[in-house]
Amino acid sequence: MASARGGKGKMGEDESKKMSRSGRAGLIFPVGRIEKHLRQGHYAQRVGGAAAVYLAAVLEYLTAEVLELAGNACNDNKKARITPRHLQLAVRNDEEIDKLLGNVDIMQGGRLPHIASELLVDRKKKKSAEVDTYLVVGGSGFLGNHIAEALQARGDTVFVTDLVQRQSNSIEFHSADLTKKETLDALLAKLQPSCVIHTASPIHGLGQHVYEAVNVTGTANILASSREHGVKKFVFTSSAGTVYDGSDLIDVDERCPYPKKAMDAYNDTKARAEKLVLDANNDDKDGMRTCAIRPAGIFGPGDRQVLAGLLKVVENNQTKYQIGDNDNLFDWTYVANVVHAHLLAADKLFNDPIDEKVFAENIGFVEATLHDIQVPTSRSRNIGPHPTREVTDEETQSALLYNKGVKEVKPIVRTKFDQFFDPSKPEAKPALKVSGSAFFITNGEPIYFWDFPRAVWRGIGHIPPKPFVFSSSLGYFLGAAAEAFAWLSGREAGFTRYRVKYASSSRYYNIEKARRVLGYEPVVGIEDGIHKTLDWYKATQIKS
Amino acid sequence: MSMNSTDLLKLALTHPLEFRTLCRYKIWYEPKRDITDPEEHATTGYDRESMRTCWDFLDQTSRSFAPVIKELDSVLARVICIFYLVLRALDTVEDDMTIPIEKKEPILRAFYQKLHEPGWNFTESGPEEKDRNLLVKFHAVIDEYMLLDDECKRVIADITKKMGNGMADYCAAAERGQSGVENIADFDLYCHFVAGLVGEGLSGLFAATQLEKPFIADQLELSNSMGLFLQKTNILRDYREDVDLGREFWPMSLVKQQGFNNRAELKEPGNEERALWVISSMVLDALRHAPDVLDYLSLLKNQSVFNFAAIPQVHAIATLETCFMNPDILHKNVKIRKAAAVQILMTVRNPRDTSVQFVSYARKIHAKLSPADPNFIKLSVALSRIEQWAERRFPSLLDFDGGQVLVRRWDKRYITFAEYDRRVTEREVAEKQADALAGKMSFETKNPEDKIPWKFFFLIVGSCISLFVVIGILVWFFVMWLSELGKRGN
Repeated sequence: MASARGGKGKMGEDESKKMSRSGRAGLIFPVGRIEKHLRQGHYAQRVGGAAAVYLAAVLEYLTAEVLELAGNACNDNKKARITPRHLQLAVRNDEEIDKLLGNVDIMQGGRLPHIASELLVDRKKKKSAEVDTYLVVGGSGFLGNHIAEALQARGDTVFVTDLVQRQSNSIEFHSADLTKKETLDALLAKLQPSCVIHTASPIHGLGQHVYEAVNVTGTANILASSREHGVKKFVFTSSAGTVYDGSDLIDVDERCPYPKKAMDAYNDTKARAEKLVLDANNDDKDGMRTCAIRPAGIFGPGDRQVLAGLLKVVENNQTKYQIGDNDNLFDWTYVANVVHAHLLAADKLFNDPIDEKVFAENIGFVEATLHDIQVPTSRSRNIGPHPTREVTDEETQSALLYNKGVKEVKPIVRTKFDQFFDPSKPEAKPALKVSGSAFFITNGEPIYFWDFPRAVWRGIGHIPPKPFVFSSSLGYFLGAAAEAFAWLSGREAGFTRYRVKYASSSRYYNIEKARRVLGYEPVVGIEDGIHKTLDWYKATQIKS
Repeated sequence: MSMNSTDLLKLALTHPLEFRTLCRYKIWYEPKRDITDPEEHATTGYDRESMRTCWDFLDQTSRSFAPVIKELDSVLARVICIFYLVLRALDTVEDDMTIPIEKKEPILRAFYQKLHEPGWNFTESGPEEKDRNLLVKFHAVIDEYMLLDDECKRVIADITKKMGNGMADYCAAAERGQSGVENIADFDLYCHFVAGLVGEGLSGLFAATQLEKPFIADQLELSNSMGLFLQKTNILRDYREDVDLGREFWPMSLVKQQGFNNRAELKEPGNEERALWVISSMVLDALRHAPDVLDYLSLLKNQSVFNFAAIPQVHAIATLETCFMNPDILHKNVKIRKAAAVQILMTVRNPRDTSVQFVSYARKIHAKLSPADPNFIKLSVALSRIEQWAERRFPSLLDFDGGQVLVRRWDKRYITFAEYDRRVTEREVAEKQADALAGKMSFETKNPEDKIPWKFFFLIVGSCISLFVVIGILVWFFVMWLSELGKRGN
């Protein structure tokens, strides 16, 4: 308080001689006392007259600064009293003072709230995705149910609609008939979903009118209804069979056109439905964006079609027969991978087109079953045995690189026939965005046709004997004979030419577009997929 | 390819096709290059005493590599000969059990420095070592090494240093019983030191001699895969020999998986079926390098380099096929059939042939695959990668038979490409038309009549006429002059 008096004393001439040095310098902090401490502290042999004044000024300035900031912090928090917490906030939020007091702990100060910027951005993005509410059409089916459960598991709002409820889970179910648009309209008006995932499709082996009604009319209905009710995203479960016309499909990609004459009513109606969906895509700001997922040979827990067929062969004791040389590759897809692709498509429908430059890097093979080896090189390798010497820095670096799994960029050679050959030619360019596109989805690990059934048979404990092979031409002949016999005797033929063709032709797809554009990588390998399916099968068998 | 006459006769009767292949080889096949030819001396160095010694050493130390190395183009044959001899010498020191570890380790570590010490040799190899002579006369190799250009020297010394250090580490660890190959990562690392580094060195030398593009030297993973594929195949094939000598390379994790406690148990009677599953997991491990091998081979440009690199790789997959599901490898040394080896030697000339061979061996392996195999699906996936690789690079849509490329129109992809071709042609036609139109408007000279060289024609005619005129004038003056003279004479 002495300094305050000194301040006032400036006015009177008499008192000026008695004025403290603080007063003369216009400071609040005590110059004399600081000088005393400087001298007693023996910081130097001699201490100049101005030093104490200077130091007092600095200390006063810093204190005032901290006080002001703390006061602000206090005001911001709508408090009347400055607490250590406010001091902490003031100090840590100011870059220079924070540096000065870097090693100082403020008691009861707490920690400064801090969120890494990457997390903040993520959160924002996630928030916009979280806004989506999903409606899974056909959600009681095998695939639809898996998709609905995956959406629920990641914390999204999801509703399910189907003809009847066949699943026992906590997802909100609404009954609706695809062939009646008014039921869909009522449902969408009530639920207001922003993303519709349309998985509904009848099983194989029904009449043409069923496929026509559900696949074509039903899809048109749900499309129209979605558009009218402000749906933003529409993901359609198509089928890899949409391009199948009975001939071999060898490493085909999405450029492959729909066949002029479809294989059967199912594939034909699926192709027409897919075309409806893709044509409905509207890339405008407020338009509804659509895309189609074309899985090939889905299997997994809950599936009764693929597994039932294979188990029947064991029952009939026919596992010893093999049609064809078994040199034909075939694609299968584990259900979790199909689900993964659907969610990726829904999340990325509004993404910008992909830059093709990244396609110059070799993407390699899918590594879900054969976890790719990291080949050691002199640039990146483990340290290995070294009993007589120390490890060098270079080696430590190289081991770090190796164990991180950092791989070299390998060159890629594309032929004229490759879909991503020479991006400078616009004719060769496929659409490189999610909206308006169809994607083949497989496990990316085609295997020889008979290996899949044999692996399943082995999984249930039946190791098939060495096969009795007959050629596909003989198979055709026998198939024709069996069909003729069935026709004469009026029974359904179990062995047909179609089956012979199915077993002896190649059917596998190139999924590079899905990998590049959707960022799709199978999450479950084919071997694990078979194990999981059989575990489920065994568990349900025991129950029933 | 030595075979006595009774063997040949037997082969002719039992395998006439193979006999035909062998005959063809004997009659038609001749080495691409004769290193003793005086015209080649500039690159082969055969005129120098020291290099002749080196070529002789190459013949003595390697019967399988010598002929292929000698067929390499220009200076590369000599460079790789030196590289081979240096590594061979290093290997001889490492294998020599009579040298105590205290002595062996520093030599291995400093071996690369000896390359720069003219006159250095090593006389302390055991008397049993078959290649001890190479070390005794190693100064000849050093002399020739010194004549190489700097980049080649750098590559050779670098690989020698890395391999020497690796070998020294493994020897020291073996002395303490710590060098066990426990899992696949250990196996990969061991193979990297003994074979992967050779691959890196060869890529470096291909680039250094400018027979291949420089980027090949930087593809270390692919180069290592080339070495690892060969080495893993050899380790698989040499099971019995290695076990009998107490050398243990097969990863213990694969051996233990089938309930064995050590590698030697595999060969015991009664263990055959489980041993087959261990073999199949070794085959699977090797096959994972196959796509890398095919990738590497398709980057090569020089024919002699390609043959040098590709033929051993196709031999390796053929060997894998022979070893797969074959209990014989537990008891004896198994080799691919001589005719198959010769067939490969004569047919593998480009990446497409190589991939065709790989696919055909992959299918043969697959035909032997049993559903009882624990690696059943994994092997199917590994083999299908080879199929997919071949399909992507050389689509079966194209048929190369009979020297002509035919498109298989029944193939589903044909429609896609036909459509693509149609669009490209349309665009090109449109571009041409646009060009032609623009041309007509801006250049009058683009007239088709321009093709007749009117200018030249007029030039000839014009010069003829002017020549006639000049001569006529001269003659006229001459005649006038004569008549003047005549007048004067009169």
